Order: sequence, then C-alpha cells, then structure tokens
Amino acid sequence: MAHYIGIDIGGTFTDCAVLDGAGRIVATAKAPSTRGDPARGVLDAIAVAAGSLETDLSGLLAGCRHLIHGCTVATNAVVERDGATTGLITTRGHEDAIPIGKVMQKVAGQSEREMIHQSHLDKAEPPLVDRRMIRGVTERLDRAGDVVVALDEEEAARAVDSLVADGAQAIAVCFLWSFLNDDHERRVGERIACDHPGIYVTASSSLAPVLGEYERAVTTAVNAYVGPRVVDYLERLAARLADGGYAAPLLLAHSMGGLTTMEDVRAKPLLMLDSGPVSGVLGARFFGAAYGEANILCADMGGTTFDVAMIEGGRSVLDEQPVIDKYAYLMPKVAVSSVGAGGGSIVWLDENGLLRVGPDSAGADPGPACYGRGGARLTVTDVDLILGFLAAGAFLGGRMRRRPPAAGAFLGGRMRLDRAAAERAADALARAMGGDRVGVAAGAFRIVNAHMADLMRRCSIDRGRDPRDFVLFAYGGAAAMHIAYLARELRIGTVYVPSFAAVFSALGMMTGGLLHSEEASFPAVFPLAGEEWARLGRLFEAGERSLARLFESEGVAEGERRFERSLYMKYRLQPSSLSVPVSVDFRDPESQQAVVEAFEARYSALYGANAAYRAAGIEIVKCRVEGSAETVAPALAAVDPDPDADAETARTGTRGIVFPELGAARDTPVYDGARLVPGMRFEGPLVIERTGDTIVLPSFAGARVDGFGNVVIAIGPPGDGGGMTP
Amino acid sequence: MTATLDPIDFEVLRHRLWMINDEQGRVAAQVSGSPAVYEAKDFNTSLLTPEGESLYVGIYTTRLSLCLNFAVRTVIERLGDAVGIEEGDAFVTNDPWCGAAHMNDILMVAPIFWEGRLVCWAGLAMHETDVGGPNPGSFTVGTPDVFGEGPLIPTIKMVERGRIREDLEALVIRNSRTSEVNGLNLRARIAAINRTRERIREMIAEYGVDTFMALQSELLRNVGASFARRVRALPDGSWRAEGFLDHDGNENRLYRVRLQMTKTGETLEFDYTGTDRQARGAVNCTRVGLESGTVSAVLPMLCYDMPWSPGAIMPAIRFVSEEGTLNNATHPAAVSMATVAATFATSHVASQAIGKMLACSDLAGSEAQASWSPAWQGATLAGRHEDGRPFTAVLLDQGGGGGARAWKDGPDTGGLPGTPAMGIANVETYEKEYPILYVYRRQSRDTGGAGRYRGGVGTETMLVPHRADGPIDLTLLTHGASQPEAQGLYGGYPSSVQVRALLRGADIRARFRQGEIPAGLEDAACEALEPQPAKTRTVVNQDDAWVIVCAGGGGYGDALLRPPQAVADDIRAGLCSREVAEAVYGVALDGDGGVDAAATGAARQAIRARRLAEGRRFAEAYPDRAAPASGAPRASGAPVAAIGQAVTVAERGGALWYDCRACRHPLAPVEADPKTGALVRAVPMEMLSPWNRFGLTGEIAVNEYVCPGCAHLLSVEVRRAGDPPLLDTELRMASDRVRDAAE
Repeated sequence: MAHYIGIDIGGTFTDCAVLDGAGRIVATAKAPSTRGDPARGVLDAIAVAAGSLETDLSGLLAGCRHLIHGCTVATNAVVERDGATTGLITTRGHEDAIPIGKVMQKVAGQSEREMIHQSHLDKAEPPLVDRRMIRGVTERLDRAGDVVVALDEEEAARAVDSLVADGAQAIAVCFLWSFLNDDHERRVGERIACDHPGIYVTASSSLAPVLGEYERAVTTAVNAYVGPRVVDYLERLAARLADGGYAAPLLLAHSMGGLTTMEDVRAKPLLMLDSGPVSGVLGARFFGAAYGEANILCADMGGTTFDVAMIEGGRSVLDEQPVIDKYAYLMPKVAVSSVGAGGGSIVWLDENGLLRVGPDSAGADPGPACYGRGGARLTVTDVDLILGFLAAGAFLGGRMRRRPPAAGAFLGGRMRLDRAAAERAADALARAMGGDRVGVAAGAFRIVNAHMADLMRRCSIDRGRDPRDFVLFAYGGAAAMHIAYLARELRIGTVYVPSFAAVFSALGMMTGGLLHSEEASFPAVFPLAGEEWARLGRLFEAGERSLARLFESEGVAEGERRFERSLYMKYRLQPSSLSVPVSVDFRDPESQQAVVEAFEARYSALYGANAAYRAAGIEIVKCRVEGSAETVAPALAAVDPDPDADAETARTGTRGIVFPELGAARDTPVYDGARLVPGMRFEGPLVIERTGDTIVLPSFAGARVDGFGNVVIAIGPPGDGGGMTP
Repeated sequence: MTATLDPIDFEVLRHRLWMINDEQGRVAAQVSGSPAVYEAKDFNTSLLTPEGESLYVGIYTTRLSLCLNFAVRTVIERLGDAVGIEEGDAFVTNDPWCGAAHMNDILMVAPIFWEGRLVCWAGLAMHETDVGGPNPGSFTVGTPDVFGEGPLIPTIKMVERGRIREDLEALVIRNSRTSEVNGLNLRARIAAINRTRERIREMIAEYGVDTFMALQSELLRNVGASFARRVRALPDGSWRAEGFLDHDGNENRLYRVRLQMTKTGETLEFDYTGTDRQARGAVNCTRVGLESGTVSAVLPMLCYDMPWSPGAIMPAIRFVSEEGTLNNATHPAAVSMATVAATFATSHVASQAIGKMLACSDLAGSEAQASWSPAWQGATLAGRHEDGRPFTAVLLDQGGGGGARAWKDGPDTGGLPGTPAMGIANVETYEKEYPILYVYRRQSRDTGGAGRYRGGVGTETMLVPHRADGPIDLTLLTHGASQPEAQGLYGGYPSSVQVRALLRGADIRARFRQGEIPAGLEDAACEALEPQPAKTRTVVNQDDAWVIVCAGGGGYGDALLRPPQAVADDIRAGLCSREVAEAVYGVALDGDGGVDAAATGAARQAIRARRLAEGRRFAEAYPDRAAPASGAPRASGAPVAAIGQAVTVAERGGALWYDCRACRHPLAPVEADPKTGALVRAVPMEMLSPWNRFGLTGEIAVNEYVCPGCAHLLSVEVRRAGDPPLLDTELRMASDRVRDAAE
C-alpha cells in the first residue's frame, strides 16, 4: 500500500501524519523533539505512527511514496547563534555594510513599543558574522556592472586563507553590483572551492541577485551561517531514512510555501528558515481551495505567540524582505506576522489602574500561573481557565518554538492545571481594581481578543483588503477558544477550525506542491525599447529553463510543470515594489501597456483613489518565475456528512462557564471532540474538547462538522447580545 | 460629550486608534518616492482632536512632533471663517510661521467629519528633496533672510470636498527641482489620509460618535497622568546645557543655544533665555521648532513606555523664550536649515539636560544616556549624468552614533536621536540614481566620546564623481564641525567634531586603474586638502573627492575605568586608535594587540597624576563663580542620592554634600554645583580624537573637572574659549531628605 508521511519538527514535539493512497488520514503521532539529534525525534514519531498502523518503522518507510519534512534546524541556528563560524568576503571599503546595518538594524522587525525606547536600542547581538571575520578584497564594479577596479584574485585567496585559519567553516561572498556582473564573485567562489574544498561557500549573485548590498550581504551570510547545519542534518536524516527502507527523495517544506528537494536546499538552505509556521498556512490554503474560499486569514495562537497570515485569491502573500533577529534578508517567505499575544500574555494593571494585556509574556517557563511552575501573574491561559473555557485537565498543544518545557511538565500528554493558582492571580488584580475575579477575567478576555483583531485588521488592510471579505482559519492550541469572538470583532461570518489541529503543520505540508523560483534583477523604466522588452522575455525563458532542469532532476514530467511570471514594479524612486503577474507576449512592445495598466490597477486597489501618480514614471525592479507542480500527496479525502448525525451522542456533561456576552457563570454543555461525526450540528453556548484544543462556541455562534472532520463555525449577526458592546 | 467610557472599552479603542495612526505612517512610507521619507523617515503623522491637540504622533522624526498641531490651529484660527473647513478638505503649507518646521516640509492636514460634525484631524508632515530657491536641495547657503530661500506657501486648501485643486497642486510643486517626486509625495499624503478617514469612520460606525469623542479626552487624561507620575518621581532641581551652532551660512561664528531646565513637582520648565539673537543666515527656527525640538527630547527619553501623545504631555511642559532668538525667530529670518540647525540644537540641549536629570534619578541605571550624534550631516548635489540628464540629490546616509549609557556603550552607527525608525540607503541605491561612487563607507574610529562606556561611532564616507557630465554643485551643511558637540555625561568625554574635507585634484581614479582602493584620507594623494566649515557650497570636479565623517555619541563616566580589554577589542574592530587608547584610556597594548597590564596600570597612574598636578582649584580658576567657603565637613553619613557614577550626595553633620563617588572625598555643599569642589584643567581637543584637528582648535576649550582626592573624572565640558564654567547641576533636595538621612 502506497502512503505519504508528513513530519514537522516543533520546539516541543515532532509531529507525524500519514495519508493512505486515497488521501485518508490513517495515522497521526507525536514524539518529543530531540534537540541534539533531531533525526531521532523524526524516526521516533514515524515509529509511533507505524505502531498505530500495526507495522514497524521499516515497514512504514518501505511503503512510503513520499516523505515530506519541515524542520526548525535553520531557525534554531540563527536564533541560538549556533550556526557555522562564518567569514565574509566583500568589496574593499565596504566591509562595514553589515555592522552599519543601514543604521536601522537596531529596529528591524521590532514593535513600535520597542522602537520608542531610545536608550535600549541596539543592533543584533552578537552579530552573526564577527567584524573580525569580514575581509575586504580589492575589486569594484559600478552601476552598469562595468569593472572600475579589477579583482585582485591573489589577495582574495589570501583573505580566504586567513579566514580559514581563523576558524571559518563557511564563507559568504558578496561584492557591490555583483547582481549585474557575477564575474568577480564567481571567480572567488571557484577559488575557495578549489583551495578549501571542505568549506561551505555561497555567493550573493547566485542566491539573491538584486539591488541592495546590505540585504544581499545579510542573505548570503545567513545562508552560509545555516548551510553546514542544515545540509548536515538533512543528509544524515536522508541516510537514516534510506537505511530504514525509504527509497524516494526527501521532500522539504520551505518558507515560500511549497516543497523542494535536497538539490535546491543544498544551495539555498535559508529556504528552510521559519518554514514551520508556513506549513499551517499551506494547510489552510488547501482547505480553502476545497471549500471554495479564496481569501483566508490564518490565526495560529500558541502558548507564546500569535501568528497571522493571509491567503488572497487562493495564494499565500509573500514577504519580500523578511527579518530574522533584526537581519533583513532577500528570500521571499510566506508573510507571517507574529506578536507575543499567545496564551502566556500577562494581564496587568497599569499605573492608572487600567487593565492591560501583554505584550509581556510569561513564556513557557514559568508560564501561566495555572502551570504551577511558580508563575504568579495572571495570563490569558489563566483567564481561559477561570472563565471555564479550559478544563483543569486539558491538554495544552500548540507550538512552543524556542524553549522546550521543563522536564516532567507534560504528564502523559496532559497537564493538570492549577485553577486555584489562576484564581489567586486574578484576585490580586481584582482587589487592586476594586472589581471581582470574573470581571477581571472577562475584561482581559475582551482586550486580548480586540488586540488580536487589530493585528489581523492591519494584516489585511496593509494589503488593501477588508477583513470582512475573508474567512478565518484557526489552529494552534489556544486559537479555538478565542476565534469566535475575534471573528465577531472583525465582522467575519465563517470560521474553520481544522481537525487534527495538533498535527496540522505536518498535515499542511503534505497539501503543498513542489514550488521553485528564480529571480533576476532587471532595472528598467517604462516605456522600454522593443529590444529591451524582448530581452526581458528571454530572461523569463531562461529562468523557466533553469527551473525545468530542476524539475527534470526531481522526475517531474513536463506536463505537470506550471510556470508563472511576475514583474516587480513601482513608481520611480519608491522603495517597495508590487508584484504584477504577467502573461504577455514580449515580442510585442505594445504589450507593455497592459502590464502598466495591471500595475496601476493593483496600486489603486492598495492605496486608494488619487494615490496613483503616473507622472513620476513607472519602473521594473526585478522579474521572477515560479515553477510549481501539483501536490505530490493525494488530496485529503472527505466523507459524506451524515444528515442524521446526532450531536448529543458526543455530549459528555456540563460545567460552569462564563460567556462574557451572557454575564455570570452558567451550566454549559461540554462535548467530546473525539466523538464528532461529520454532519453533527451545534448551537452555542457550548464547548467542544478535543485532543490539543478546546473549541468555544459562544451564544452567538453555531457550528457543524464537515466531511474532513473540521468544525465550521457560523457567527451570528452583531447586535444580539454579542461580545462587542457590554 | 457626556458619554463615559468603560475602562475595558477604553483599552480596546485606545489600541485601535494607535494602530490607525501607525498605519498612516506605514502607508506614507510605502508610497512616497523620497528616500528622505522612506529611508531617513524624515516625516511624521498625527491624529488630533477637533481643537488641534495631538492625540498620537508617529515614531518617525520627533523633531516634527508639534508641527501638525501648529498647522491645524493655523487652519482653525486663520482659515476657519475665511475659507471654511468642510468634509473632504485637505490643507497644505510649508510656511514655518504656519506650522512647518522649514520650507522643505510640506504639511497636509485634513478634518474628519461624522454626520456633519468635525470629530478629529489627521495630518502628515514630509520632507521634500527640493522646494525651490537658489540652492539645490533648498537648504540655502549665503542668504541673509527668508526672501533668499525657497518660496513659502502659507496654508491653502488644496483638496476641496474630496477633489484635488489641480491649479493649487501645480502651485505647490511648480518651484521645485524635483517636482515629479513632490507630486508623488502629495499623493502619498492623500493616500494615507484616505486610509485614516475610512478607519476612523469604521470605528465610529461601530462604537458611536459619543464614545469616539470620549475616547479622545480620556486618552489625553490618561497619558497625562502617566507623564505626571514619571516627572514626579524625578528629583526636583535645575540642569543646564548649552550647545553651539557653528556657521550661519554666511560666516563661521558660534551661536549659543542656552537652556535651563527646571523640574518642580509634576512640571518641566524649559527656559531658553540667553540664547543668541536670530542669525543672519538660514540656521534659525521658529517657535514651532523650539517646541517640537524640546518635545523630541522628552518623548524618547521620558515617554519610552507610554503612548506618544503630545497633547497629553504639553500641559506639564512650560517654555520660556525670547522672541527674535535663534530658536524663536521672527519673520523675515532665514529658516531653510531649521530642522538640521536650530531645531536640532534645541533638541540636543534638551536631551542633554534630561540626560543629566536622569543620571541624578533612580532611573540612572536603566535610562541615563549621554548625547547622541549632535547633528545631521547634509549633502545636496546637483549636476548632470554622463548622458546629460540633470539630477538633484540629497544624500541622507550620514549615520551618527548613539550616546553611551550608564550600563553599556552607545550603539555604533546608531543614527540620529529622536528618529528611531530612520535608516540609510544602500550605497547601490545612491549609485544607481546619481553619478557618484563610494570609495568607502565604514564605521569611523575615534568619533564616539571616550568613557567608562563609550559613545557609539559614526560613519565615514569618501565619494568621487562617477559617470557625471561636468562639475557637481555640492552643498554641505551640519554643525559641530568646529567643536565636539555630542557631550559626555558626568565624566564621559565628548564626541569628535564632524569632518567634511574636499580633496582637490585627487589621484583616486588613477589608483583605481592601478588596481588600488584608497584606505582613507591619508592614503589618497591630492593637490589640496580643503577642510570645510559647517556650511559650504562648492563645485566638485571630476578629479575631486570628498570625505564626510560623522560625529558619534558622548561617553559616560571616567575613561580610566573602562576595562582595558574592551579598549583592545575596539582597536581590533577599528573603532578606536592606539593614540586615543594611550592618551585618553591609558591602555597600552603588547605586540600582538593584547593588553599590557603593567604598562596600562602605569599609564593610568600617570594620567591621574597629571590631572592632579595640572588641575587648578575651582576657586582659583573662577574666583567670581566659587561658592562661599563652608566649614570643613565632618565625617560622612549614608549616601542619599547619586549623580551617575561620578558623585554621591551624602549627609555630613546635618547638611547634604556632594562626595566623589570613587573615594568619598567631599566636594561641595549640595546648594552649590559639584564642579565647584573639583580641580579643573583644560585639555587639548586634538588629544581626544585625531579628527578634532579639523575643528576650531584655538577657539574651543575642553575642561575636565576631577576629584582633588583621587583624580576621578567627574565632568567634562566643551566651551567657547573664555566662557565661564557651565554650572549645570542644581539639585533641590527637600529638607526632609536631610532629616531622613540624619536618622
């Protein structure tokens, strides 16, 4: 029997999902992540899944058609500064480009709250590349790509030797203007490969051939920094999987929202940065397609973070210049906005006696008061417990990205929550405020929901979109408790809470297809001369040929390959460009007109009437080709809902729960998520407890279970006693 | 407006309103075509009450923080009746007597209505590359008054009920050398205001207009209370700071900005009395610059953990200033350089005074910070590309350094103060647009002030024309080229001077052909090396080059207390020279660049001995300034307060005395300035940084104040030669503190 395995390494658990050849989910499994040797956790999780299918590791691997994998090795290397000792070779006179960091490194990726604290602004510490490991080499190109100073190749070789002598394990090469002329970079790269074959080398012109020496140098340096770790890990894993009987190539989930192979990752390991949160977005996109929903806001709320992403017109939105740990780099990534507003966000009273939530978080350790690990401050998780949404014996799922939990915290997958500790924390605030415990909890619940709604609003409005045109997709351990209220704040009518929330990322990555891209810098101002326009067409064709070679090596048949071209355009002198899909005939210069119109239409949609200003001139920055191939795993299978399914069969009892829109605690029905059957229908108020999360259905919401086992929540119209107005 | 706001509603709505103002700035930065806006963040945004009080101001250039508030008030007072204020209108001005900081800043403010009622205002101020006048870039060198600068546009209604008046739009952009970009930027302002109007209306539709109005007053009340609490917790007293503006655009003379800041209870008074009369040149600013400049120091230093709501903090701030002075100039003073001259200098002295106050407070260990880089280094260029196309450019990539903190060095190339989000463009971005080539751009050693913690260093760049047709018209402007201007805090040394030097007939291109890249000023041969004063306009030819070195931040505490290893690391990272290490830090290195501990100990001992030997008693140096002699203090009691790492306040026989914090040597009674009990000696400014040789060495005095007991460096001041000492610290300690201490 052919089947498919998805494996996602998270901070706490390594998750596994197995599909059969018909797309049915036949097994899900978890095993503790193993930091020192992540491959062991991977094999453990597969073994657990195999056990539930009454086979063993080799049995499962031998029958596996594709194994699809996402890991945090690259992210951990950067965040924990555990990557390779990296040297940088750059143009003499410009050695400080990364240390200067365009001055703004000190605030890159920071929240406004952090940015206004002037006395505490600092650049990335410690730097990924020590200043003493940066060597300038005599060479210089200009804006035409012409040589101003010839490359001193012997000097470069000596600089490389000295870096290796100082311990460099990886070397990044980034010269000014190399994206227009890669000769100097290529020669230095070849020299390193020849003189020091064991050193991991990466050159900016092959990785991110676009304007901007700071970001290009960072991209190259980060790639070199994570390269040896990522490649080493994946090669070992591939070997162990092969030993176990897995015969096909390993497929890897990357941060652009698709899958790729080792060939690609070996050269671009930074594709693996932050790929974890992206997999959930893939899953949401898949279900969105199945439901006919093209516009989706994804809410991933875990213990320490709240991540928001957007799918627009069936495509995930890319961040062209993502930031990791204050370093901005040039590898497009599915845009995920993250704020510290997870279950750990601290509830507090400010000096004016006002109730506030976050941004400080109790994190995973000590965590919320109810974890009983010494945290005395009220958190959102405590609030959920006090209101009764969370049961004292609930399992806490969700991703904990950076820090593993204290040993012994999870007892057989369940953690006993200390309700009394949560109540003490709330009472302390209630006394100070002159209110009561439940009032504090209900107030905090409303505030955190409103703040999360603000973030989601910003995420959609930044793209010129109205959140009311979207549906919500909620996953992560804490999202399902808040999502109905969030939806109401945003005036969103439909919310999907997927089944298998606990392994949703592992499942999500199996819904992705192969996705590769090629970019090239192409600075030009409209209107272009006919021959230049034709050259652009040839550049696209060259990009497609290069992707075709990659597909060839991956065994993807010609008929399955799909190419999409886009141009990045802007008004002249603007800093950021918009991507405009193009499918015009480049042999015809007149076709430029359609492209310009497409750009202006997009621009006006984003920034409103009166904002466009053609007199400034319109220019092209770069071109990009994406090559994709259909999903490699079969589509997830849905079953037909049973119209007679009786929700009451899933009911386990009642407990006292405070729904803020209803006032005091009331006896509320509780349902068992494990007993949900497609076709069941529910009317709030009630809660559904599942392995991994609790779905809260307020009085203004109803729900049904669909053929995938997902819970689809319908939010009632505002004004019927909802959470908006007290 | 009787609606009361539930505290939970308030928290929910406060956050949402803040996000709306934030979004205004993000839209403007995305859409704008000026590197001044999207990179240097030389703009700001605000949401204001119907009366023009600023509810929120963006985190961009805080030196513009009150401009929009002045602009809205101008509309209300001068145009309300005359031309009317209606739904869909937007008003525009660049007039520094109508709210703009200088002519380059074009302001747009728009009323927002709900069912016919004015509910708030939104607005943006954005710097334009050029707004006309004789000087490319519109910072005008050589004019005596405003009539020789770019044209003023007093407030006009450019958008009328949602329709752009194209005749007026043409008027706004017509005089500029960069009218295309200015036009694009006008649209950026409109786009941002459109967005804000929609968001505000959504909010009112959801919550009701009464709630929205109540939110505004509650917000002002709430942030006002937080600010009052912050100020109340600081010690009462007065702190003085003085800054110099060198060169007025016509002649190189030093103008003084003088500040006495007095903190009493919950109020802060900024008294600029004694500031020099307005200059015959473009360095002045108007009253809006004085107030915005001051607030731009208050926001990041005292409001670092609360919303930036100028309308809420203004009731606690008082200004005293004489009209017709450098930072309160009256028409027809020239003001085109205001933001980078008098406004910046005002902000600079205000941050020094606040830094001193923080160093005297319980927040010293977590908030006290020396001066950041003292001024922007402007460079505007105009000329032709090799294909004959004209260009006008402002280079905004001059990154200063951050001030040293009580716990850490200042950030290297950290930028300018009061502009947290500012960045500089890539070298490739500038080279793409303009016919120039960066020989190098790097962090510049010896530009930050030395200290126990040192100031961050600034940048150093060397440029040459490249693929240009004919000469380039170059204007350079800054201040602090004559004197070290970023001051250290309580024993920290000042930054270097700012350097701008022209290399006439340089050999750069020949060196390129030989396969060499010059490593610095000394490494390039030229026919003449011409250091430039603070303001200059000149012509650069094909074989010329120019170098710009930005001053860093000031230091904190005595440099002899810096761990020698930290100095050795700085030398290796190219941030400190061996000369400065030896002369200022007293650190000697061995042959491998490691610390020579024995030689370092001896060098530091020698420096201390020299401080004691050369230092004169304050009473001898300044007989007319000395405090009346008091009886010999008795044995010291418990310390009750501290001033940075330099001085403690301790009780001695019922009186409070300043003691040296290192050796507890009594310095002066608390009624006097601690400097009056110190030894004072002048040090040559060239010793502090080799760059200082380009300053006005003969006219500037750097004075050290050291403890007579142990030679601990307590304070360093930069004065015009012949100036009296700057007695800058006057703590008013309540008598109950004396009593508490005595018990």
